[in-house]
Amino acid sequence: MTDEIDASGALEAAGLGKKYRRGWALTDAAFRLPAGRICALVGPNGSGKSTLLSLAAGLLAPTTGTLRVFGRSAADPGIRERIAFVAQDKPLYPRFSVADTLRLGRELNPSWDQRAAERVVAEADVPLSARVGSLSGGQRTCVALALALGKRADLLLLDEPMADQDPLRRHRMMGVLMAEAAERGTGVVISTHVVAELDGVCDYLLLMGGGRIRLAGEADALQSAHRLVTGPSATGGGTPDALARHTVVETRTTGRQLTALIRPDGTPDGDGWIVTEPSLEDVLLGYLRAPDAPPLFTAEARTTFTEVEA
Amino acid sequence: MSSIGIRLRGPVTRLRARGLLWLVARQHRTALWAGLAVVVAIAAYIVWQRAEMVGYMRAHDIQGCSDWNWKAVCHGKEIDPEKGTNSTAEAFRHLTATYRAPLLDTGRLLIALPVLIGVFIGAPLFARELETGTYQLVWTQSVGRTRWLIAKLTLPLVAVTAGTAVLAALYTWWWRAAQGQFQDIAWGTPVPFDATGPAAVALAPLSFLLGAAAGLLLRRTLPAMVVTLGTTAGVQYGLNALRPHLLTPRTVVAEADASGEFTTTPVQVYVNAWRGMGNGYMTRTGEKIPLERCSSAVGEHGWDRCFARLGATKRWYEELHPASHYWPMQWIQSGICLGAAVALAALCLWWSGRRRA
Amino acid sequence: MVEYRIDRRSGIATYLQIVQQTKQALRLGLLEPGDRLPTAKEVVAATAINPNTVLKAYRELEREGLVEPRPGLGTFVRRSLARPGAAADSPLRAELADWTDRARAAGLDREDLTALVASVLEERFGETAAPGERGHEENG
Repeated sequence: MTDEIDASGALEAAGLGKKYRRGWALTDAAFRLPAGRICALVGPNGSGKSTLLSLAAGLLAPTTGTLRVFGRSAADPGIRERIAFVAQDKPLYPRFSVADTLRLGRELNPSWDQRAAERVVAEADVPLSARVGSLSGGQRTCVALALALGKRADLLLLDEPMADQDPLRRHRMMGVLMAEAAERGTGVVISTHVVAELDGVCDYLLLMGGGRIRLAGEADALQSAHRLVTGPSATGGGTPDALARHTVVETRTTGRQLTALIRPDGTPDGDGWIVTEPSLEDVLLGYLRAPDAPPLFTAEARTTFTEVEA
Repeated sequence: MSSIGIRLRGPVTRLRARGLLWLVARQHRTALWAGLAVVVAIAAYIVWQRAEMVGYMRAHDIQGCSDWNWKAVCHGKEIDPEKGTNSTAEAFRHLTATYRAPLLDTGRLLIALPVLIGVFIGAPLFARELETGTYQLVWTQSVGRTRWLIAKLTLPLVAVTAGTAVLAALYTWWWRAAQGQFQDIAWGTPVPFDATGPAAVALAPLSFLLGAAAGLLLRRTLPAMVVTLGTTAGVQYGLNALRPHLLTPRTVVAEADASGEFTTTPVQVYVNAWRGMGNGYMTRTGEKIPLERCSSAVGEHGWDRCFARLGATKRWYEELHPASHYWPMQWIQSGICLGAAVALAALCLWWSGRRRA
Repeated sequence: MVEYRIDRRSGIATYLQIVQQTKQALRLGLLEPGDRLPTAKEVVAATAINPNTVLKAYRELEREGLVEPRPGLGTFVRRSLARPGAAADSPLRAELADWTDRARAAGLDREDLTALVASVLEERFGETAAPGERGHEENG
């Protein structure tokens, strides 16, 4: 990895917004993704994940703000060699054979690694002579991943890459991706709306909802910034006084018992309160259930520039 | 902004352009072979028909005979191809019956080719990529978008232009052997004008680019094909309407003798001319009175009285495009088509130059 | 060479599972001083976990003095945890196998034996024999 990559984030946005004819898909996004991270881009359908990835891939132009990829504008043609993108519906030429599709990668990329690409295809048990149009959705995804990995990019942008994979192939493809990350320090952004899919894989997290970034930062930092507390619910509902000091993300009441996901300010205490550290999935589910919870960015996820160009 | 010219510079860029050309050729592999088969088939048919026709004309010694209206001039003799009973007239009738329809039908096929090129090669070129999302695949590889667009346009453009040029040249060759015999077919009508010479060649790139531009702007294959069908057919219709005005027609004047026959102008003036640009009588001072001026005249002598009132003499004029106008008009129409094609190519490049779709 | 098996539902942090499985291999003599641990790439290709997790586990093993990284070559075992009595061919193990056979002959099943061993261990070591240090999944 070059120093240049380490110095500037893989992705860095300020005031980033994208408006389609039907409305805003992304508003005022400001975040930073350092290089070499395995980042989960989580959010419900229609939360702006695909828009953000298409902006990063240079396929869309932002309506407002700036998105930098390795310190340069996402529109900069020179940045194309350093990113690889797999779109959500995995567009490939259906009449091409798998070998033709890899040849496309070889013909159009100066840093192409044919062996790496062929390894992915072999790992997925897809024959090179098969026509792309005759493959299953999961196999097509593997060919698209092979094309992305053969490019030897520094950042892989993958839009729901595991959605149509069976468990075995999902495991193998994740293994291939992680091996690439381990070997070359390649950064990966994986969008998904299935939280459990990325367990143990991601060390960075972007949670989106309603076109906004709601959580951004290192997975362990985000996790340890939260506490799950269980105790008696307040009489007449509402947030118990014992929690008033903290930022309450979400509360759920079962009978007389209340469970709350909080961002503690100091040590949470109170009579009969049980305090535990939530799993990352607990945190994500809490935020997904509470769309109005205040956003949280770790220090590393804060954008380092404020200049906004139209 | 990259261009094809860049390919000729550094070895790295040449390598990449070759890559794109590989991609475009691979995408159009089937279409290229199919197009080649069509060109070979039509070319073979033209060569065969022409050989048969010329062979028949040689065998019956009717080469160089010009059929004109109801008379044919053959080796200095006038014959009547309609009713004559001699062998020359028989041969003339056979020639017309056997070769006229294939000649015209082939011409109609050739003027339909640009429309087919626009609809089936031009329109899906970008529309299918935009519709199925495969443009995202190419745009996120390491080659520039403009370079991709140029490669996508160039290869089919060269192929369709070359194919059309071969067919237009062969058809022109056939037509020139036949035109003396079929004088009633005006050379300015779509067949043969749009099927011969440079005008036929120039229609192919124009129609292709009309389709490509429609595909880029509409982003959907079927609507782009429909719009291309309309615009390419409309272009041919418009060119046909514009054609008589590309050059000023020549005026031919004939005097009627005492018996009312127009004898002063030899029949040969009209031979090979594209007639029908306008006709009528002339005044004593040489002004033209078109026939339409008296088209509403009624009664037995209404017509004569109408013209007499307008000061008509017995001098009859006709405006026509002589055969010598064929080549200048071919080049003018080709120029118009190629100019429009360049403008459309520029439109496509402008589209790709916008930052992102 | 060891092969790690990651149980995502165990509640034990992934890096700790790697640490424990490495130690287990060291105890059983499957890994000996001078052996190379699998590279991070090899581990993540097989387990599909984050490479940083593997590096974190190896750093932990290094901190305990069990392994040492040799730049450009890999991570190598420095010290064994195997005790003479715990090896696969030790007399103690043979005695235990013998004892197990007699217990089975006396009609005890697997669960009975496990309970019996656990109770003796508790009596002699004074605390519950925990399956391992519990920790939180820190790497998501």
